[in-house]
Amino acid sequence: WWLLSKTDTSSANSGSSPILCKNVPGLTPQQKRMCHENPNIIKYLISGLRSALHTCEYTFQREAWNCTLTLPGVGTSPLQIASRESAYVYAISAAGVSHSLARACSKGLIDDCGCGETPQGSGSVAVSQASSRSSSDFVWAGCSDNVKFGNTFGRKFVDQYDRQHATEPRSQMNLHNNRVGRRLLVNAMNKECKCHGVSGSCVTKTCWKVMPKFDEFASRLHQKYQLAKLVTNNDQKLTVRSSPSAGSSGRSERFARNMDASSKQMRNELIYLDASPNYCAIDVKDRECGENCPNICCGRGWRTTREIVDEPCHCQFVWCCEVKCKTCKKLVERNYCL
Amino acid sequence: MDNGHGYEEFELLEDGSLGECSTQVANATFLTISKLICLVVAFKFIKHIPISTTVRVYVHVFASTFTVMWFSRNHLQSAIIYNMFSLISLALAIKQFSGYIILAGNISLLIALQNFCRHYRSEDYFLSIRGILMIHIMRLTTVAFNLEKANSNKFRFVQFSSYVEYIYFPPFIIFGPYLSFEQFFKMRDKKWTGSENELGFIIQSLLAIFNAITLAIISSCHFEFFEPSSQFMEDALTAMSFRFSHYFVCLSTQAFVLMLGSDVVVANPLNIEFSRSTLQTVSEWNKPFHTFLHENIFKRRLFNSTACNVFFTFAVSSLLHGLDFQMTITLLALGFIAYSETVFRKRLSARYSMCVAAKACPVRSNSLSCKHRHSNKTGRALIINLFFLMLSMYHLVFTGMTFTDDYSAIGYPFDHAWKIWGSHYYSSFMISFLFLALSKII
Repeated sequence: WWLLSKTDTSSANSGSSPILCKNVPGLTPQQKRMCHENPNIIKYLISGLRSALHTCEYTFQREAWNCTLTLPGVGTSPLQIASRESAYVYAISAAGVSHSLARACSKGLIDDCGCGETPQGSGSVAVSQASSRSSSDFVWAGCSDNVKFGNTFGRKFVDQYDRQHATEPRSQMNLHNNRVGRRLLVNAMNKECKCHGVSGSCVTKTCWKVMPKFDEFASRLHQKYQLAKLVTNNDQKLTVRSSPSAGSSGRSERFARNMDASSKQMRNELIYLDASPNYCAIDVKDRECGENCPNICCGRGWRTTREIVDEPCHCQFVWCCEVKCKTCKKLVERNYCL
Repeated sequence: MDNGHGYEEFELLEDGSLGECSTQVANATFLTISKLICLVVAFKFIKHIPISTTVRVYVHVFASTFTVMWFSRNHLQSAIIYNMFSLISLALAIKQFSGYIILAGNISLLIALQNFCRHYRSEDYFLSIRGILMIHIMRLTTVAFNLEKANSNKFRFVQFSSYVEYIYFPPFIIFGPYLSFEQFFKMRDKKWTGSENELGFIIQSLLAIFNAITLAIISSCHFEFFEPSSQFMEDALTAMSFRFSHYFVCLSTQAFVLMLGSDVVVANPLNIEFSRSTLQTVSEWNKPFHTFLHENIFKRRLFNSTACNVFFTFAVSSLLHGLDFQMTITLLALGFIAYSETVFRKRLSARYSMCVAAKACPVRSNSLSCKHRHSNKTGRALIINLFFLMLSMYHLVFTGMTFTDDYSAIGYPFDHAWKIWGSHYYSSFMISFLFLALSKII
């Protein structure tokens, strides 16, 4: 399972990619070749993947499944079950890879790529159009994050395995979720501007497109995770039963039609094939569960420890230029599963 | 599958990104500048037309209002705000209020406007007109000081019209520069100096515009030109991007001034990049601004101690930006850095009799009138001056690196600068404290 093994090694040694490519088990020959030929790109790919999984853990820290990918309790890794969790992991890693590559490109860290396209094409025609339309508000010009490169390379590399098995429903699901991750990333791009004017003011500005901050993106994806759709396999095609959640509103229930997973409505939705496993089988002993203990600890109960922590408080800004704080003792309650 | 074919596909994407970024920025900046050049040419022409003073006043007021509307977002609103500032100030100035009161009044009005914008969640709009209003306020204050000085109770239209012409001069409204009253009228009353001379001015100004656009391109596409290999390099590039954007504005205004036949220097980027001291950096940063603050605030010595006067001058300068926390602490930091360095170097040059003070020894009749034993050219002084040159280059990075692009159009959060300075261990402050301590010891 390439994704998993990839992350295991990447957390162990980060720098030396040529050696790394050979040692990672589970890479397809093409992936190995790409890895070998573009060591510099792979470096950012790995860091993107790692930050994706790190963000995943952060996002899910208050839920039963805390984004662990290797579980001693369940028997198999959660990624092998085609659940909504694995849909999330696929989407966020695909997006993470694109995110990291696109940033690296626009910062000039990768030789093979540079700035991305700014909206409305390029060149003078678009600029004058933009400026005549929105008067003097801003002009599209500058160095956008190269999401196109990120997505292209990411797709070539990440989707490699699943594309070779594109007839299998599981691979179709993975491909779909990867695509959703990338598409959501593109849709979430923001505008960043450089101001020109007297003393840092903004009389004229030139703007370009940047990636959203990755944790913002992750929480957006988390909403998609909660709305993920169950799909079934019909004739090598994934189809959605008219979503079970819509059953409560009477009307849509009558048309129990099947929708193709590749249809327009589904293009931005995560899909999964199987129900989630019981994450309560995981050993949750000593896991910090915060506010959500009944869920996370699966009814095994939890203990509360109280600690006294020193915290800065009553901070005041002293002119000039210092922030003075007192230290307060604060009682902090922490909950841990039994 | 389609591996081999698709593999080539993304390698094709690389080409032209640098060129693309540069062309886009060049187009965008040229568009802005060309509008302003139109105004410059128009008013160079209007200057020579014999029309009555009344008509001239109307032309200037209408053209200025139009310019403000042309360049700002909420057209009508900006025009009203702009005229409101001048009406209130002119009314007060004619009633013989002092220049300080008018400056203070304008600053309060600016801050009120800022809070008003904040209330309606349009901080970005305030940021977009702040620069225009800043220079406007400076001109109005100059007029007030002049009226105060003239001290004539009789109100004469000719005098008034010249003030209006000074305040409402369209080519200088958007990017400046601020010119003092004398500089402005020297420029206005300049006669045609012959086509050869004029051609020289035009070539100079075209050169300035070319440089300005080049700097704007580097400022916007800096990651395309340089590859940051470390965090420090990235910070240095951010600072550079901010400086170069400033040079873009300064050089283009320099071009306008040249076209209109004046020899006022706005800023010389080389003097800032390789400056002898931080004192030189701050005074060269924007010479007209520096002149305004120096003449009207610093030189009037409201306090007895120089430190207080420096602090007050920089405080006024930061208030002219509205209540902008990041700008305020950056300016005060610059003031502190420049002050401590100047004190230390003055002490150093006196104690060891070397030409190493923050200001170079003045040149008189082609030779340095240096009263020090070790003149500029001796090895010791040279090394020390070189050290301070490097140091002021570092200070430029330190003070400029907080102006990142992510918040530039919406305003910086409160702790933004502190966080970034923290990553450099507040080094410039530490160095400055060290200088202050050392200057007491030696």
